[in-house]
Amino acid sequence: MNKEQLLDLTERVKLVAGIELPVIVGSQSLYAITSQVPDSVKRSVECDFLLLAADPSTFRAVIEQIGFASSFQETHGYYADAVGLRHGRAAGGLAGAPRAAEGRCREDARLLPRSSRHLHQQADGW
Amino acid sequence: MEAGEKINSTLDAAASVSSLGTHQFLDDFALAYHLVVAKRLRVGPEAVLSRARQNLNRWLEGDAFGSGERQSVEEWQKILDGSDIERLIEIITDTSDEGQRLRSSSPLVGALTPEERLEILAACEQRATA
Repeated sequence: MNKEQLLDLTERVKLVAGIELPVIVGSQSLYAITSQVPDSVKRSVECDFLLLAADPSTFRAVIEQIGFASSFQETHGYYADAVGLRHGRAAGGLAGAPRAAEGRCREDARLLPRSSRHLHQQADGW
Repeated sequence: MEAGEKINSTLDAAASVSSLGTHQFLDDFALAYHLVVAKRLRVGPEAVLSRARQNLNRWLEGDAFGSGERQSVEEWQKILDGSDIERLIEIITDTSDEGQRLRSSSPLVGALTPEERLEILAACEQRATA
């Protein structure tokens, strides 16, 4: 997915999930620090959004309206995955240098230092 | 307890864990969806394939998809062009990581009605919370 698609998706997550500042995790979070992302990031058509303390109805709303196989995906070709904290964690903690995420990740997902400059305060990436 | 373990333990305690919010659930949903699509392909492949090709063409229209983004679309175009129905069914129901990767960009979305999709989602949710 490119940055324009990511920003569009972020706006839709804000509306659907009712959150002001979505947190992007996984490979798409690379856009937080650079626009020059690898092809493996661009070819991915989904983005993980971390929903903290969200109830099941919020996860369900994201899946239903802008998730996998939604009419949104059929029209636009990309979609959002809503994930909770159990999705992935840093080995050895969250602070400090980037660490490889444990657990199953679709891409080479690394937790990177937070920076919202490139996303213009619309979302945080980590 | 090491610092990393302490942090993870705290996260576990504090996290509001929804089964819908895991990649396992999302992967299971995508697989369940494609298992139904596979049945549809056996009964009436033309309609399913026609819609899939329309999806791929739509995604390539305009300049929304650059060269990087087009890779997944072009990958699927090759699969649809080069696979018979049985091979296609094999691909979309493959439970390996490669199968999951391909399903995540599948153009076979829209093969089922929104109602059918929601039924599958509800069934997956029921299984996940049982």
